[in-house]
Amino acid sequence: MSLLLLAPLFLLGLGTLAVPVIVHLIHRHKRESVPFPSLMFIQRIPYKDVRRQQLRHKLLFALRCLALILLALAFARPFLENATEAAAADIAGREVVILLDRSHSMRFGDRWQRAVEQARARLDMLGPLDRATVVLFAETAEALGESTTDGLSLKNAIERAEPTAGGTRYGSALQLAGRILSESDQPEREVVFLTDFQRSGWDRVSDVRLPGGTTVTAVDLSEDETYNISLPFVSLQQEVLSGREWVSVTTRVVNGGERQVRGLRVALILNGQELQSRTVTVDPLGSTAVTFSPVLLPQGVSRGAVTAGTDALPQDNTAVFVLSPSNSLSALILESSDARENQSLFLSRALGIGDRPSFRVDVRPLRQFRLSDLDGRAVLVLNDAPLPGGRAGQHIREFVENGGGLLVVLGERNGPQTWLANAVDLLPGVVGGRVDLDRGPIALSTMEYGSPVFDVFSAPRSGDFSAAKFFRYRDLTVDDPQSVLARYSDGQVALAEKKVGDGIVLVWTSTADTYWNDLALQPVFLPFVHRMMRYLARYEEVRPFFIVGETLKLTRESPDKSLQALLDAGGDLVVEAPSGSRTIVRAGAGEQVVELTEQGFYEIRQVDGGEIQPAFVAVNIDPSESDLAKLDTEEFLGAVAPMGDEGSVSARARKLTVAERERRQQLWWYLLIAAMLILVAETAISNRLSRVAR
Amino acid sequence: MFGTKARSHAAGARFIDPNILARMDNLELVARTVVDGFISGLHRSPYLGLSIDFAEHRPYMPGDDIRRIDWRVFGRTDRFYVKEFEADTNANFSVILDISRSMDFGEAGIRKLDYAKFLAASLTYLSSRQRDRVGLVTFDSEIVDIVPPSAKHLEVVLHTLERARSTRGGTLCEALLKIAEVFRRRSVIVLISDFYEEPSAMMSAVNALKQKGNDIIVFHVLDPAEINFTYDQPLNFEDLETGEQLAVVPDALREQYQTMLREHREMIGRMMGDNRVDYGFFDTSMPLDLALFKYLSNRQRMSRVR
Repeated sequence: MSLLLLAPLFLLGLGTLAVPVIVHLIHRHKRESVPFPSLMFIQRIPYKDVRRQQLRHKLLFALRCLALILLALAFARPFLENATEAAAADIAGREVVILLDRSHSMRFGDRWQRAVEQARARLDMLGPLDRATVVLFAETAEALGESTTDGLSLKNAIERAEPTAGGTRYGSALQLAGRILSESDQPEREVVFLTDFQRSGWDRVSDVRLPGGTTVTAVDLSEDETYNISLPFVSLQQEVLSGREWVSVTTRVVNGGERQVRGLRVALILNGQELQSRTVTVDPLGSTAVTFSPVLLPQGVSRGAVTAGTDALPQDNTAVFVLSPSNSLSALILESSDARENQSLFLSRALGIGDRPSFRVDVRPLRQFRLSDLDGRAVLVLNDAPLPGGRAGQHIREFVENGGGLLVVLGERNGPQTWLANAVDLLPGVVGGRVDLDRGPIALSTMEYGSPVFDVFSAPRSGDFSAAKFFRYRDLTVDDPQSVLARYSDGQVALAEKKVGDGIVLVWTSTADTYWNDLALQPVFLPFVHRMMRYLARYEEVRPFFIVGETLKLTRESPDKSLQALLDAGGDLVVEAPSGSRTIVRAGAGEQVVELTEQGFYEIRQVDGGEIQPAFVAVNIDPSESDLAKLDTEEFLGAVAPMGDEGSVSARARKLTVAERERRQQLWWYLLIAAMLILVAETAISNRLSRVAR
Repeated sequence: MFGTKARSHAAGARFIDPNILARMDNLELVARTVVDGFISGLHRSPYLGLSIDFAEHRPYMPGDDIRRIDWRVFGRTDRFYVKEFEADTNANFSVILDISRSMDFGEAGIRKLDYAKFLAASLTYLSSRQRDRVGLVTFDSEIVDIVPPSAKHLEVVLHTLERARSTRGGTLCEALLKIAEVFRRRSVIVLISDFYEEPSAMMSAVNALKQKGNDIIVFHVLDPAEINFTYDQPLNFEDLETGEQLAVVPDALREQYQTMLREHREMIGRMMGDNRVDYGFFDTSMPLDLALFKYLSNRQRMSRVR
């Protein structure tokens, strides 16, 4: 048996023993002689008095030295190397991963408190050789540090953790746990699930299985009966009546409990003021829609909320949203001087309908076009009219290159001879002659549904273009087949696009009225025209609310006008979360992203408190988090059951490491206590000597 | 035995701090300051000596002996005048001053030797004003300087005192025996020393002076640090006389040291008293006036005896 040290460098601390000796020696050498008239009397005093005093000091000195030696030895972490113990030291430590659910649903009642207590209890059960990792998970999983034997630090980390507003995703937690376990050399592995086993989190789980030999312990924190009211859905319908914009708010109240809810008061709040309320009854596990009367939209950006009572999970009883005045798109339709009667009628009428967005349309003969006509326009339509030459043509080119949209409608008067050579490069191809379909009309047969123009028509029964008959079109030979968005049934190009600068040019090879086709008479014409305009104008709707976990791009292309104004002004911005935490967004740092992790209103404003109004972003809880339906635990355990041969891992054994052997013996404790006792004794003796000396 | 009484006598006198006097370079000035201040505080005539050679008249002052009033002058002028006589003194006065190395010690701002010098100078000055013949002997292990008593030796005495330095160790007994051979006329002798000697041996040496008819006053001068032994840290003490060093823990020795020193002083005082030698003890923080009181009271006593 021999004594080994875990941290022998601490023995350097023994060097401190030399300090009092050195001080003593230095002090002695430096002690100056004091002149005294005569030592006649001093010499007569028996010398033994002095000798006895020195002996007492040596005792104190020895005690102090011994205490220092013990302290240094304690810090060096000694342990006894026992051959038999070392041979028998094949041990079975565990690698324990505690998966602690911190999704929004864990805020229900006292679930989180119980989860923390369970986690602490699990950590208390760890043996001296067991290692543990605590993983907090919601949408994503995060380990609280490396795998460790220090249960106390893990407990402290758990105490600091809090549930989030995020959704549940078991897959990420299982993946992280699997990785931790597969990297561990501990022979035994265990995963402890501390969760409410929310079904919605399981639906999204990927096919993840834990490593072989892993014991899965599930701690169900859910309650047998839950009562939860939530507002998973808010719809805002804005419309302009009598020149003023009104908004209708509709919400759906969901009862997640198994008993009927009567007399539930649902209120609409706008800018902090309750405007309307409804009282509803919601059946067990049912829902009901609540529509509030239209309210006049205030000027500027408004913050609204719908609330429905309160319960054990109060956060999802409120749905917040931001209301802002609709952004209308302005379009200018130019037609040739000898245009047909009502040539732009169908276009302008189609654009006159709709409020998200609303369109502002002007129709003008080409000869009356002024350069200033394009100011504030999003889209220019050349309806069977060529691109004008001269300054007007150049101005239109610059308009497109700077982000404007150009819709070129070919037709009787808009052919190859009408496009000047210097304007041809605006088009996606070469305009050819008129194609008359003498054998009979054809239809649109191929649409590029991946394009924003046609994506809304991709679903079945969401737009029938086949009913439209085309009798005539202009031939368009495109340079890049990828630019074609729609083709006729004869394979020729019906709609093609080209990016010019920051803008987009669309070429429609037939007319926009009923002269060459009857598409304008089909129901699909209106959404088709709207989608083309939205695409050309790069229109995006302002989202009234986001869901926790989504990100907000701080970009000047944002449809949010207030955010655009802030970004256009330059300067640093501050993003204040609902909890009050602030993030500074530096100007000139490029496009930045804000992760929306809290429920409520995020406020974005200038750091220096400028005059520009702040922008608000509403964030709601993921509706799936409000569904507290519970997963079958057995099903869950079966799904995540370990893969591979369980026995192969469990049979592994390993020797105790030096640190583990030291931790088993913990001799340093005894040394520390001995040092403390010696110091106490030294203090007592020193005090007694002082009293005697006095 | 002397201190308390002397202090009460000196209540009207001006007490002069020795540390202030130590800043004066001129020993005569020191002596004059002490003596004049002391005398004016007494409100009595400084001229106690008797002489036969008339010098002048001066107005009578309260405290003058009425026997010295010149009644003839009073008859002519109706005023009191006192006769002044030339300095034809009635005594020899000598200071025997120990200037050994042990006297070169002072922790209270002034060294014992300086204090002793002031004392000697003041007494000499006072005696000189009283028309005594003044002299001085300085010694350590040997006699260093001798100034024979003379009415004109005041300045010589003061000058000798001024340049007296501690250079060697001292042996009081041997030196006193040698000095006893020097004094052939009866004198008033003031012996100033720190008396680090065995009292019995020292007494025999003093008796050698006493037996020649000298009136001896012994002034024992010590520094407060010597008396109280106020050191607190362990120190190496070096004997100023022998150079010997000794590591000492003052806390452990203080009580015994103080006892031994006190017994030593008491022994000296008792032996001096038994031999009719007046003994006064001073520490260097005490005002010099007290020494003058001691001296003058002694002179008065001697006058009455005569």
